[in-house]
Amino acid sequence: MNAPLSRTNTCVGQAIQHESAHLHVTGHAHYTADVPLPAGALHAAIAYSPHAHARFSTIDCTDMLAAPEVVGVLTARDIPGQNNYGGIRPDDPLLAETLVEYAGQPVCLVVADSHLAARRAARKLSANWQPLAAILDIDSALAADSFLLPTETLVRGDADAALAIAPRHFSGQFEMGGQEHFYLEGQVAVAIPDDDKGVCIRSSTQHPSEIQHIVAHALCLSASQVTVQCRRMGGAFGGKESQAALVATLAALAARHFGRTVSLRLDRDDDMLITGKRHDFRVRYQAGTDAAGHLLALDIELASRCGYSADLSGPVNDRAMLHIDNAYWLPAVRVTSHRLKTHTVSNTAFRGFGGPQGMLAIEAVLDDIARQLGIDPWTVRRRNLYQPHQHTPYGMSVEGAPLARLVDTLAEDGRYADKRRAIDAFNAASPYVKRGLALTPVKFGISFTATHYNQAGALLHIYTDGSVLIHHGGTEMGQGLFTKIAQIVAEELGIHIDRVRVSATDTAKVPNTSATAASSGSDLNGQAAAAAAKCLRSRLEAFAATRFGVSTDDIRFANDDVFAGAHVLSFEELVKAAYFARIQLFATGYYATPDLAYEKGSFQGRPFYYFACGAALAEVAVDTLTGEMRTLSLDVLHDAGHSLNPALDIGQIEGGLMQGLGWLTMEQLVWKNDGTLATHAPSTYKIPSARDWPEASRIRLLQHAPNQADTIHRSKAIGEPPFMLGMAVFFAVRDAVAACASEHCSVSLNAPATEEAILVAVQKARTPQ
Amino acid sequence: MTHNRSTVRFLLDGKVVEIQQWMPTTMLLPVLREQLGRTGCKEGCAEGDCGACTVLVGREHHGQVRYQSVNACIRPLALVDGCEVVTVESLAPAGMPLHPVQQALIQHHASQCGFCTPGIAMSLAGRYLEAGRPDRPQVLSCLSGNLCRCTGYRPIVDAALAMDDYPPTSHWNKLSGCEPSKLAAIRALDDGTTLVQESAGHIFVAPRTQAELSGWLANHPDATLVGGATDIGVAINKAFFAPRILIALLRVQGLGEISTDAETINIGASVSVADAFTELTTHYPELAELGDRFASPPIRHAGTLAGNLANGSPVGDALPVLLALDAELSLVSVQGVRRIALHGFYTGYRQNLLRAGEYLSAIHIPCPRPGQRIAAYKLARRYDQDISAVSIAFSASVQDGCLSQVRLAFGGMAACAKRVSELEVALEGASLERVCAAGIDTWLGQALSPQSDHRASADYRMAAASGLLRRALQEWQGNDAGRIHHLEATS
Ligand SMILES: Cc1cc2nc3c(=O)[nH]c(=O)nc-3n(C[C@H](O)[C@H](O)[C@H](O)COP(=O)(O)OP(=O)(O)OC[C@H]3O[C@@H](n4cnc5c(N)ncnc54)[C@H](O)[C@@H]3O)c2cc1C
Ligand code: FES
Ligand code: FES
Repeated sequence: MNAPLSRTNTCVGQAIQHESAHLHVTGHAHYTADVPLPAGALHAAIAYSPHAHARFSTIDCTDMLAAPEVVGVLTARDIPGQNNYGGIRPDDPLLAETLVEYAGQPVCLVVADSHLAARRAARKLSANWQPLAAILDIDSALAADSFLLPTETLVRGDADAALAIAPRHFSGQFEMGGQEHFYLEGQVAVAIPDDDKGVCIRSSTQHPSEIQHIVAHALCLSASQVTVQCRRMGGAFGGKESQAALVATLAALAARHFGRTVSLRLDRDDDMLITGKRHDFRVRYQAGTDAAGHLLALDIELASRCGYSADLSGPVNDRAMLHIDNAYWLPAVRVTSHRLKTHTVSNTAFRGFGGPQGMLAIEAVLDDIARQLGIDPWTVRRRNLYQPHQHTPYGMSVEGAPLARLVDTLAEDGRYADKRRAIDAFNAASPYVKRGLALTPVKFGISFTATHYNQAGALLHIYTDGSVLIHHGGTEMGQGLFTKIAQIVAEELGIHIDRVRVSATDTAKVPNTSATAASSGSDLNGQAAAAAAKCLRSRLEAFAATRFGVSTDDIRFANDDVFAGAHVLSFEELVKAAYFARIQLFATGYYATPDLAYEKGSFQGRPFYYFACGAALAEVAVDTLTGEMRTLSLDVLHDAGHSLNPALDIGQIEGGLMQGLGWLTMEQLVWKNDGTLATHAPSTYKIPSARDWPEASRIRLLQHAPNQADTIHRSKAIGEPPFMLGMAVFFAVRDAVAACASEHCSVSLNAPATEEAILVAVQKARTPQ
Repeated sequence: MTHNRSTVRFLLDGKVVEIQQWMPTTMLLPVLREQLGRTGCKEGCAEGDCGACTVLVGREHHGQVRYQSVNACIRPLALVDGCEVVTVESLAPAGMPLHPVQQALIQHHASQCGFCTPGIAMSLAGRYLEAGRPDRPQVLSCLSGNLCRCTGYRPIVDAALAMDDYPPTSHWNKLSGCEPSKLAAIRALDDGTTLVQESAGHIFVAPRTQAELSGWLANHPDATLVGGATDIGVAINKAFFAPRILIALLRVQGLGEISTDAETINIGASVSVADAFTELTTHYPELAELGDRFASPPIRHAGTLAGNLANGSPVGDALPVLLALDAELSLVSVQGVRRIALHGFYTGYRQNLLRAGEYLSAIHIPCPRPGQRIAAYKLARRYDQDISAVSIAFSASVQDGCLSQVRLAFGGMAACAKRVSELEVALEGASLERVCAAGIDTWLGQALSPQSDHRASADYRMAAASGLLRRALQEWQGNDAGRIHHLEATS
């Protein structure tokens, strides 16, 4: 049954507070490391490689073993089964055997009586290292043909031919840096030995089922012997999709080995050195337009640094390719994607999953084109915006994406034209401080491109006191999924949300879960939870109909009451009666996204169920004496469909935008020449702080915009798309730099736009070319 | 002769907590989490940078109890001896209504993953206990040491601006610091004894008098002094720094004073960075921005000005300013006191004239002269809580458009913070109008030798140093070059 396009809900759609808010503010929300450990529990720490690339044959554990409180050191040889935590390709050793391929790669696990003792001993790792030449960056990887995965291409039309006849030609290069997740809660897992060799793991993870399987393989167990639980994470952002498995599996290994509970919690610096990050990209392009800046041809090459192993790099780069259009019509296009192997940490999922890199690439191309043509970049963007009848380069219709409505409303409400005039006037009179303005759209495809992931399950219990417990396969990382699930269940059963408790995610309750990723958490699990609730409601309806001799059509669940014709009774009374009548009061729900038609690697078809869209308008100021920048205002209009919870959705928009702003303006990963990460702590790796959010911000949801696709209550996914709203800030910085130039030329500013990068760009802009 | 004791005693929710088993390097955070069940206190970084571990520490101050935020992760347990500790769990004891700060955070949807939230609640609670309601700039300063990766901060700032609208609770309101019972309880912790701990060959001592301090130093000239441990704590947590003897200055009588006479501002060794800058700013209002940008409130509450100077990092923020202001230092040992100029104190990268067995007891800063102008800017990736890549302090008397008594100091431009004497001489007597930018660059190029690191390249540091000096000159010329941080959005 299709969800209605107009809404009549009472719980869904309300700005209900996060289900754990009262626990967050009192300190009573338990995270993985907060649960008291049983007596005798051990603590582990990872000893990792100091070299980016080296062989070794022996590890000397003497010093580690001699350190105070140490009870043992585990190496690859202690792993009974598969030494791997790679989910897609088995190329991620839990512990290195004879080869290390990045500085920070785990080599052994030190187990001690305390966290501190384990960490201290882990520094005493010694091995007969034979350092090898290391490939550290994109350029050297390309020069050495160091490809991790085969190069992929996506083609529509004949880009070469179109380029040849295009009136105007452009070419350029653009680089964007990676990004550390910096979830406030670092990676952590506690493994508790269970009956009969089994193990139960409390893990801070987005992907419990994957951990279950990896642990089973590593310990030669069946999946049924491994339980993985997660009540909540202190942030994840993609960083706990595949990376949590390393920590969880090592904890399980030690728990098995010592027969005791083992906690493995990474210190912040270790976390930043050991675990993967967002892929950095280098873009080269040739583009052809008409005199007005309409794109006629684009030949674009993306090269990304994947690090030493495959991890999720394949799908991340696929998504970058699939988002090369962002919101623009590309009549003839060729996208080439190189996935490079380097001796650096294996880059991984991070909010947007490659999408941001693809989208930033096309935005940079359009910015270059506009600057060289001397046309306002917003005009060029608007001219190239998709029209509803058009199709993406991979052949999917963009009809359901309300792009024009979004950008035009935002340009109007945000007074783009007035601001543009005012800023030009300001800049003409201000020699040192320059203002900049930019409006950029976002169109983001929703669904896992690995089609089989687009399924979810739920298990709903109603207890005889009328309280309700819902289990589902999604994980809570702060995004508010559990709140939305509770709203959906309460709505379906006509009960107050306080009756609904969402249980910790647990592979023993709901099996074969997909990662909570790709923004799909509420789309998939919400549908599954709703299905379970619907099933129980119809059971209760049927029971009430018989009991009160009315038709099921005359039964209504609302406000904790049940109306059966003229009879009214409380939900609790009905439940109790149903129990005594021996009605089954628990049910499962299942959902698989319909209408997907996509073969991985084909770059043709319908990989996405729908698009989530938004647009941002940013104003910044740049100090041309120092290169410092500041965001002055942010206007956002975002499409969340019929929002399940506007307060949570606004929260996702603001948080995502801020993270995007951080990626593009201040967060800089710096590696030393020997391949070790120099910025491995918040003292050197700066994420935005409170002052970076401008007082002048207007963040709004697009109203009366039900999802055209039949999603849960016609809502749209919200986790990732807002991240790309941060692009407006970056291009506003470029706009400010452009105000220093006396002629029409591109702004040579890569991301992140640090104060140093900005100052160099300003100096270039001031130098006649 | 004072008596010694080895048990750390502090107040938590009105009860005395006694910790007997501890190491000199034991931090407050693991004790709270693992021994006292206060898991609301989170570890996000263990180096003072994220604020997830923020707690309040109450100490006697001018006859009241002053509660200030500190980072429990780098607060040595021994430094809360004799104090009251307030954690997020303290804000709303079981059965009590939520604290206004907590209510405001909930109602503004200010937590997502919630991991940063306890720390944010504590930073705000610290501000809430103070008089008056904070405005936006004050809220931003208050939160400058709290990272949140989820929310984008807007709802947190809104909650902070609204927290004073909620009805106060009997626990932790604006009068809490004046409650005589609280002061009495804190005073009762102090029986006049000296805290001394010997554990596995490591010694911690918190002397009570300067004589006691000098005695310990004379016997152990290689001892490590600790002020607020905001530098040392990071070394302990991250590099496993384990000094053999750690001598704390916090409880030494007479080192916590600020005294100002007609000529000089005198700042004792254990005066916090926060209090020091408050005093400095009353005399030199131009230093307000720097004071606000020095680390974050919890670090400024814990760290000392003396520690900043003694640590002597080339990017320490107080160094250029105090160099430009002709500050002097009192160095004390059993041999006596010597007073030396800060200019010349540094002899190389983290090297200074302090002798073994000597400590820095006070910093003396001349009061402003009529006609004196100063400019002090710091340049960092992030406005708040970030280490400077480059900093500048410029001081001169300006009369009829001419400069005299010029002092110009830089941080981050050499192995130690330093004055650029050559350029000072060149600028002496110069007319502000005629200072030439190209000339400046040549002087700076000759005098300074910055390095490249993860914060900035040497070229950038050079260009930015010149930019900062030009900014100061512009401002003094009255053509305010415009500061991006003072701009409003285009309406
Ligand atoms: C998160 C964070 C942010 C920071 N931000 C900044 C910043 O923005 N700007 C900045 O300049 N610094 C910053 N710092 C560094 C630090 O806070 C300051 O240097 C602070 O002033 C140090 O004072 P302290 O009392 O904590 O020093 P401690 O750590 O106690 O001591 C530092 C050193 O000085 C010695 N010492 C201390 N007192 C004396 C004395 N009286 N006589 C002789 N030797 C002594 C100690 O033995 C030690 O070697 C930051 C630190 C952290 C953790
Ligand atoms: S844990 Fe990050 S500041 Fe203490
Ligand atoms: S709510 Fe997650 S870090 Fe602040």
